[in-house]
Amino acid sequence: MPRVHDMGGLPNQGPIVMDADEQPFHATWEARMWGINEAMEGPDGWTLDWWRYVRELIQPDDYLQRPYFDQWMQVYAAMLVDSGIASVAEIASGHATSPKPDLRKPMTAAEVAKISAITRDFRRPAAQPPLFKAGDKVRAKTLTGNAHTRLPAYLMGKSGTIHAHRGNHLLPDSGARGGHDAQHLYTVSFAAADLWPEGQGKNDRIFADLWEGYLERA
Amino acid sequence: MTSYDSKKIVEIHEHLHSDLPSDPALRVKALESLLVEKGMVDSGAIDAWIDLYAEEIGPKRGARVVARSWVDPAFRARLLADGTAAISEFGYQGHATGNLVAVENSPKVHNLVVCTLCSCYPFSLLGMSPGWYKSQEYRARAVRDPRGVLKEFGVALGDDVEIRVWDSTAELRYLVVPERPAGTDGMNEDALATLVTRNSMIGTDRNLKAGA
Repeated sequence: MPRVHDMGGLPNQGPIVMDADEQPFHATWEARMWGINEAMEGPDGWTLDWWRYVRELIQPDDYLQRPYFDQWMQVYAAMLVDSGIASVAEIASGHATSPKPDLRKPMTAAEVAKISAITRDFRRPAAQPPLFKAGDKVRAKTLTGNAHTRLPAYLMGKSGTIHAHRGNHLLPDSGARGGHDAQHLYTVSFAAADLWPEGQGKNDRIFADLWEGYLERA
Repeated sequence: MTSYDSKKIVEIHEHLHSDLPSDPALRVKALESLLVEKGMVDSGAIDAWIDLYAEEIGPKRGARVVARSWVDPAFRARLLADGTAAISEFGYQGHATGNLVAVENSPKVHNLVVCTLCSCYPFSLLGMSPGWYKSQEYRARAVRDPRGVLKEFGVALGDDVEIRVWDSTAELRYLVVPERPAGTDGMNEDALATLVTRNSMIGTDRNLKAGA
């Protein structure tokens, strides 16, 4: 099953559309939606990759056609329903008819500046040493099904070279299931000539950050 | 409880598709008022985030970092070794920059950043991402036809220049460090920062001008 969000290398694309004004938000609702995303913490189970997975599962036509920040709205709506916090009818009306969830008090305006400067390191202590080192030849595995993964389809089955070991990072495939597993992460270099007809005769390279479980020795 | 069940989510999306109003402005307004009633978000905090990114957090931050890397070789070495630690010297660490990697352009190398799977971007350093960065066309083409993409942004590269495309598939975020333009020897860091464009830090701009 093709995964609609997995767009790298899709053929027959039109030109890049650049806005004349290049404003980050084109309408107030876009800014509000982005602000909700920043200001709301949600339940602990709403991991980053659960959020991404819920977006990937939006109906393909909606994913391709509805505005970007509107998709964010639909992700939160779906997560609220899934977690039993709100019904579709409550979301449609904008009014609560069921009790409040038992969550932390929401972030206040006074806390925003401080929270905005907090950064998150996704590395975790490693139980095992890395399998690969810079210069090793590897091949990206072919992962089928539509479970959440950060291995793009255009790299599956392709061979590349380990460019750098980046530490032991939380694994998105696990995060999307509520887990906290981590694996060694590598930046892998692929020759454009090995990936695309357009890359023939060029020295161009594509780099992707791939977890150890996505890779096998080539 | 969160289900982590894709079948359940697909069904919920079907309901939302048919039962929510179509107009995004109405949908978001309803979501915000519901979340406020549920005690999950404070509208004042939403205002504060929007103000912060409108006034303080934006590409000017990245431009200051790049300008310093042009005038201070020790800082440049720190930036290339550990991007997050280097931008923390300015207090610019924050959303999505916990594992920042800086990649430098040279006469023979050009770097370009994309996120083919979603829209990953170093927000606390460059602010909001431009619309085109999140578009299907950019996400699809940047890894396959980077030269064609760059041409549309006005950057023509000879075959002797190697393009390195960085697909942000993990939580690493990439900052392109463009080359310092010629004719800027007498300029100080503040003046140099005004020459650095947002697109040059994503990689869709290359030849910066001494007079912006």
